[in-house]
Amino acid sequence: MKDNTQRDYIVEAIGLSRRFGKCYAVKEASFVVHAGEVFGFLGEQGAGKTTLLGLLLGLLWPTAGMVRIFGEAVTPGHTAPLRHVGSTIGMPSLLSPFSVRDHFLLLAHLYPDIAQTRIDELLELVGLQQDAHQKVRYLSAAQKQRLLFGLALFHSPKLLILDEPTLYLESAGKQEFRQLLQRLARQGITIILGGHLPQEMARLCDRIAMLQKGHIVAQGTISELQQKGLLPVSDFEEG
Amino acid sequence: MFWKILYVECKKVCALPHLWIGQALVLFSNLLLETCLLLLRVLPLNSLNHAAQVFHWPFNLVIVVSQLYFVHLGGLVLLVLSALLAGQEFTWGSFHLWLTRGVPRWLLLTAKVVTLFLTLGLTIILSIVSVSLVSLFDGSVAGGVEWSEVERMALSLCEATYALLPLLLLSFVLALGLRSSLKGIVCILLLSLCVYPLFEVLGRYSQWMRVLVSCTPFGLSRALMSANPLFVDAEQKIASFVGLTENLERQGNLLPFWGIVGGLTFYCILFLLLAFFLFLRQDCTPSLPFKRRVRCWRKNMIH
Repeated sequence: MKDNTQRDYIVEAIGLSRRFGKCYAVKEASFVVHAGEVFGFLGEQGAGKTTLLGLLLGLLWPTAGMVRIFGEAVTPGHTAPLRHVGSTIGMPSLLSPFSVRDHFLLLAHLYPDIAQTRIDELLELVGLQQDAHQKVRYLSAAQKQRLLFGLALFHSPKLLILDEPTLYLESAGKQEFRQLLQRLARQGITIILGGHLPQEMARLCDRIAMLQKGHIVAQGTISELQQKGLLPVSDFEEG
Repeated sequence: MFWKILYVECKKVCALPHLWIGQALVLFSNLLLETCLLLLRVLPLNSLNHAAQVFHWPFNLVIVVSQLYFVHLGGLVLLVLSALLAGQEFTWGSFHLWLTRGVPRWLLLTAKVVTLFLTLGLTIILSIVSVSLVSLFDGSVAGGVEWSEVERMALSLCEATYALLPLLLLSFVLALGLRSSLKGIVCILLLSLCVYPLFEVLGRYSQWMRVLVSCTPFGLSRALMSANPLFVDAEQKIASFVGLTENLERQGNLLPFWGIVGGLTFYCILFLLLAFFLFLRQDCTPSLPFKRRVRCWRKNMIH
């Protein structure tokens, strides 16, 4: 029987490590993400964000440690809790012979209880209704990123895990995306973000874990990190 | 869940242009061979005309049987398609679309293996239909067909399919293990067109090498095909028609028939288990673009 504190955790990682050869991409990462929270991993490119998110999503086997999502352990061998998770990770990789709409239709087979109208709703939400019949191989990286975000939202997930979600978006798109993410957070969806821009992460997140060479060097609320001098105050006051 | 995933896999495969290009190639070569046989039957050429007369329905289905040999066009197309089925999602980097939605890896892989069998079935059915249609039009069915002949053909076709199966699974495993359809294709083509023939030649000079080669999946596949009388007859007739003097008589197999079948079954199970083992242990992250990978490596940022 779990106690109340544990029940509040949507994601819990304990001593999570992943080694590639002799190098640790992630080393002994421990953190919790509470329900309804926007939690961010902030770090330079190569700091281990994508590896860490890959571990959360059961795409990589951990060298040590464990991840629990909705109270259940997640490994590449057991991904059942991910049924309620929406995610985008790494480069926008999609099925190149298929159109934008086809991607939603393929996913619809996995979620037969979701109405077809949801597809049009999401196409409008991510601004791809004009390109619905366009093959993804002809889409720009920004359009692919929008599509991936739409696919992540398809089954109305309780948890969103997004790796560098605005990396390829144009500035207007970034602004639009921020507003959308804030709206989703207000709806009570738990969100985990990976990013390398302190300003943007500070604007979007309630709490941040700072990653450096695979280690979580600090974690806390924005104001806590500010007080420690790990996040510059001006960066997000400007935003 | 399995049927949904299988349906999605089938849709993905049907969207691959390579599948239809491969099928078109096999169909075209079938029709070409069939037309040659038809011309041989019709034109009063020489003594070869008699050999060609043998190939009327259902014995012209031997073209389909012959195509399934791993160094012939149909076999090679299927080996390439098998590698594409396994490795295409690594190339696209799209595995995360399914794996991050709680689809179990074993289920996804099972659906991929079933799709491979369906692709094999599609190729055989399309080949049979094309050859049958030509036979209908050229009037070679007119004489009627005895059931025993059809039975013999069906058995021969099953043998040829079974001989190809472990090689298809090997191609599948290679693409999966190397995480790339292109690498998988290169490896399987090298093995079947260069490495195996080389070892087969070496086997002529050394007995232990011959034993070793005959126990490989390629050797066993070759052995089962050479135990297939229809295939051997067809090979001999075609060889003599094109003027080859080499003796293509049935090779003395080192293993008995059921030993060959047992060996092929062993390899099928081995490659299937290997595919599951590899895929369940694998990391399935989308790869970084080459430039970014080089930049990360240069800066040596991951420690």
